[in-house]
Amino acid sequence: MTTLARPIAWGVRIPARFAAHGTVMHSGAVAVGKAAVSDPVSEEDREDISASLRGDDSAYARLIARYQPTIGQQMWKYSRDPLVVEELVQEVFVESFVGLAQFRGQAPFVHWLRRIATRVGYRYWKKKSKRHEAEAILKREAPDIAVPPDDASPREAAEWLHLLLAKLAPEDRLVLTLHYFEGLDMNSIAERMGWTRTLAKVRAFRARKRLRVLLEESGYEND
Amino acid sequence: MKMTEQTRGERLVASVAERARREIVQPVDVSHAVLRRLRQLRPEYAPERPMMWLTAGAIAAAAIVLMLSMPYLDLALDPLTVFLEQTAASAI
Repeated sequence: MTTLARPIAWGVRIPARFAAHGTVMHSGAVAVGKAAVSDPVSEEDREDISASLRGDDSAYARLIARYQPTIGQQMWKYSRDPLVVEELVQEVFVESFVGLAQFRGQAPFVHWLRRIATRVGYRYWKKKSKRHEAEAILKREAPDIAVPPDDASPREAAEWLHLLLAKLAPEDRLVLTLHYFEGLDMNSIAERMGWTRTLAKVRAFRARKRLRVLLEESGYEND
Repeated sequence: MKMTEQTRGERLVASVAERARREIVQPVDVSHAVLRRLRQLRPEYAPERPMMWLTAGAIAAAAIVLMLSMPYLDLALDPLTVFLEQTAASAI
């Protein structure tokens, strides 16, 4: 566990739901001696969030250690480069710390982290696509990728899917990544992105249309 | 994502995706790096805060000392004050 000589005190105002840890829960339920049953945030997360807001860096290090495998797994859907993945995971935890006081505790902490991770990943794609736009104009880059065989490893399958979806615009790629790569249904996509279900459906419909065009161009629709 | 009928290509993508989701990725450890970055991100004024309190305390103490030493300061600035006071007293 990392302990810094100087705590990361930002002088942030600690929200009452975390300041009064263990007494009054965000939902208004009162916990007497034990955690309220309806609380979506686990007791250990609540304790560590509260301590992190007070400037206890070891508490935040515990939160990182608890959730970095999940976030790491998620960020592999946004890049296949281990160095980039590590950078993105770092970014997620930095952003989560900066916004920690805004965490309302109405859903498990990991949901909130996953949402930040999606935003970080999407931003990375946007930045990357802008960078590659100029190159793409010069040479139409559409590397043909062979379909992985039926007995291909999950890694090979992930590589293929990543390359395929990378040919789409970031906004289409995001919806399809959430659906195919993360296995989310429409409700979960809407929840993750903070969209209405209708908006999620519209975006998915458009993305799917573009995917069909791409699959056709790449020859995957032919018998 | 329930939409009308799936094309051949979409069925292929769905089946590959199902396999891809089982991928076990290499673990990352970012604790140290994140805490280091957070320290760098900390607002500039935060490390100076103790110094600010110290300076404010020093100024307050100096002001009190100045007020208490005002009568003696007059003496120091004008040695004739004592002589004048004594003369005035003796005249009475």
